Amino acid sequence: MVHCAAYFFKKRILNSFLLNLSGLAIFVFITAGSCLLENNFLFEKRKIFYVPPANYLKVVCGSFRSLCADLFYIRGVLAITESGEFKNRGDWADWVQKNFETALTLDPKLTQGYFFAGIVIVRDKPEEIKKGISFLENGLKLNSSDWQIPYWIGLNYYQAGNFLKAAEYYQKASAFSDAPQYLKSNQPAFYYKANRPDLGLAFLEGLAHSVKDPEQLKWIEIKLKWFENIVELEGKSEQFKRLYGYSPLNLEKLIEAGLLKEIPADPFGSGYYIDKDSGRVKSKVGKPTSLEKSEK
Amino acid sequence: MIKKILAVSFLNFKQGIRDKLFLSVVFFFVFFLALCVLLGKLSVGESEKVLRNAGLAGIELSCLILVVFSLVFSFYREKESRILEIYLSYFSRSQYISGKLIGYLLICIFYLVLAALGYSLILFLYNGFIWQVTAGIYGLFLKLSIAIGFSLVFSCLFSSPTIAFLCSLFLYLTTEAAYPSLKIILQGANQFQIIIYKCLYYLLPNLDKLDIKSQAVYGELPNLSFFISASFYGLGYCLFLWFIARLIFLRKEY
Repeated sequence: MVHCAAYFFKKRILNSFLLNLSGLAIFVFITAGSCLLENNFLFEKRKIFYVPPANYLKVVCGSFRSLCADLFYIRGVLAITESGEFKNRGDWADWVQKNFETALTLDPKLTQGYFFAGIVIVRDKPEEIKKGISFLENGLKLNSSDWQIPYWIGLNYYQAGNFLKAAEYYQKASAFSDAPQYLKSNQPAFYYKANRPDLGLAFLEGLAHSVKDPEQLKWIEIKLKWFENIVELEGKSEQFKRLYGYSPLNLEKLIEAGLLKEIPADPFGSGYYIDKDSGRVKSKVGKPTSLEKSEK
Repeated sequence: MIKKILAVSFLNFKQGIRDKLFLSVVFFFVFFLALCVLLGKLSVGESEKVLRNAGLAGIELSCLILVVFSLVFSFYREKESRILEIYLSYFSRSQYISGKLIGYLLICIFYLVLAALGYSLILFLYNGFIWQVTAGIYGLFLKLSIAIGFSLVFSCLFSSPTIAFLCSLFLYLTTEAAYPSLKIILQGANQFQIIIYKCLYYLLPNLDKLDIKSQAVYGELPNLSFFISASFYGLGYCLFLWFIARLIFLRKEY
């Protein structure tokens, strides 16, 4: 037996066999060791939620500033999914916004960063909306060339119920040459919601004078007609209230009182009515009747 | 004379692209492109921009390591293996230094073209290609040509390759942060110090001014006069560094 082993050692057969065997044994050992460490000594990992000041990063990064901004942008996107790590939702929102703030200070053109930090993480609570508005207003100082930022501020004001401010920011957004057309035609609705249909009417009249495209002009004229009717009906409703001391229950009461000859046709479909809760004149949403006629 | 310079430069070029380091850097860049794709996927909403930006930064860093490392160590390898003596028996010292500089500029161009092809292919595949990024790569070439010049000066100046390599690398990094640093220093400086610091700043290469990565990734480029003046500045600075390297090399005994 000993002679046999000596022979194999001499021929280096056993040598290499033993070497391979020990390699395999080490592999098994480290795998077992890894399992042992995981089961017995896995300590809780503590994340450090820290973002270095962007002004220092500007100095350190040099011409790699834009790449550094991208990394913080990615960090911000990943931070959106980390809400479970925070007990307080406000702390989480701060953490997300800090990442995006750093990214945007380093590269203000990362437009989607404003969206994530100013819109996505903001829900319907007033203090969160306030935070979103404040972030976006600071963003507007960094980047004043993108229509999306004032548009998103307007959207937040709309969520907060401040329709006049929403209209103001929509107007700012629509002033950009690359802004979509619907921003202009949406503003009168905000003035109406803000209880100022007269402003909406004035805005639409101005818009009608500035538009040359016949298709667009047709739409604007329909909206203008709709607004004129609303302004007239609300005015008559106010007059009724002054005369009789209470709001009219429906529009027919205005005809009965001799304030109105007939209820004007609603260019947006199903007719005007007085909303009992708010006391305001509203219109049911539908297809503009004039367009239906032209399609026929 | 020009024939001899070209002969040295082609020898250096061939040696450089056959070097294992060249292949390693190419492999590194391929993996870096894969990382760029991953970064692009992670950056929802700005994928194309991040892909372009990360790719350009990768090209710059990989090419910097390639040219500086390759130049410094080939210089010392030639010195230690006595190949330098053979070179100097056929060519004058000026021709050798000029050939070395041109050879490494060619390696830089060759690598940039290769990297640009791979980078453009990835951008095409992920719908992020815009032609302006190629102009960004030209800006990188100007920066790297100055880095090559500095590596040559440090290689001639120091007897240790590690020191020459580290000096080249750190000088590059320093010049990247020179402008904001100058602004900070100037805040508390007196008139005399302001003059000294400003002279130092203008004497050091202003690499940040040649860099147009951040504009190119958005498809915005400076006008033609920028490219003309940047080319003059970059290549002129490189020529100035060649002059210094030549002066040192002529006076040194090997």
